[in-house]
Amino acid sequence: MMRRRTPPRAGRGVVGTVARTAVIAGTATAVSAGVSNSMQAKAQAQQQAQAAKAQQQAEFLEMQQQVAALQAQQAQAAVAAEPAPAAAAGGAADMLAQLAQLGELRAAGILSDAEFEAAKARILAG
Amino acid sequence: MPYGPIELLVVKFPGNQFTGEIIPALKELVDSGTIRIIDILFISKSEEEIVTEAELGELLDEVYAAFDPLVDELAGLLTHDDAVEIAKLLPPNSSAGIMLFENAWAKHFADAIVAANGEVLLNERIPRAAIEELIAEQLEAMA
Repeated sequence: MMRRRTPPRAGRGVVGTVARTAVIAGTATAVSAGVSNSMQAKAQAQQQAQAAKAQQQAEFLEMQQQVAALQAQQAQAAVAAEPAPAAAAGGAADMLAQLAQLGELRAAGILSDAEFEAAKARILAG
Repeated sequence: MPYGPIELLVVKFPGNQFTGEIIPALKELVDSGTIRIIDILFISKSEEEIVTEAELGELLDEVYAAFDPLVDELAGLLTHDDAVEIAKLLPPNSSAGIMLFENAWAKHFADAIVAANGEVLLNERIPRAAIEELIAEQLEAMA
C-alpha cells in the first residue's frame, strides 16, 4: 500500500512555540489583558488620591509646626512682657483656625497655591 | 487564517503497541465534522525508557488502514522536539498518540457568524482550575 509522505518535523514544534509565545506575551490572554488594564487605571487613581492626601497632611503638619514655633516665640515674649498672655494664647488658636480655613479654600480650588502661600505668610506674620 | 481553533491532544496507553481500539470514537468525531485531524505523531517509551517515534505511515497495516482515513493532513507542525518533550510525560512501557486537530465545529460556526455580519470577539478555553475556584466561591457565598 502506498503510504502518505511524512513532513520534515524539524524545529521547535508546537510545545516549544507555545512556551515561547507565552513568555513573550506574558501569558496574558485577551480577557486578562483587558481586566489588568482597568485594574491598573484604578490602582493609579488610588495612588494619586493617596499621594494628594499625604501631601495635604504634610502641609498641615508643617503649619502646625510653624504655629507651635510662633507660640514658643510668643510665650518667651510674654514672659519678657507680662501683660496680655490670654491674647497670645487666643492668637495662636485663631491662627490655626485661619490656616485650616485657608487649607480648605485651597483644596476646594477657590485659592490658588500662590494665593494660599501668600495668605498663609500674612497670617503667620501676625 | 485558514485554520479554525487548533488543539493539541496527547493520549497515553499502556504498552508499546498503538492499537486501534480508540478508532471508532475518533471516527465519530471526524465523520460528524466535529474535528479535523491536521497532524499526528506516535511515541513509545520502553521499559528501559528508550523513546521511539513513529509516523502514521509506520503503523502496522491494520492500524494504519483504520487510522489513515481519519487524518485529514499531516501539517508537520508537530516536530521531533515535541515528541521528545511529550515523551518526558510517559511512564516506562507506555505509548502515546500526539494529535493536532482543528475544532471544525467552531470553524463552521465562526463562518456562519461572519455570514451573519457578526464577529468572534473572544474565544477562550477557561482553565479547569479557574472554574473550580469560581464554583468554590459560589458555594462559600451560599454557606
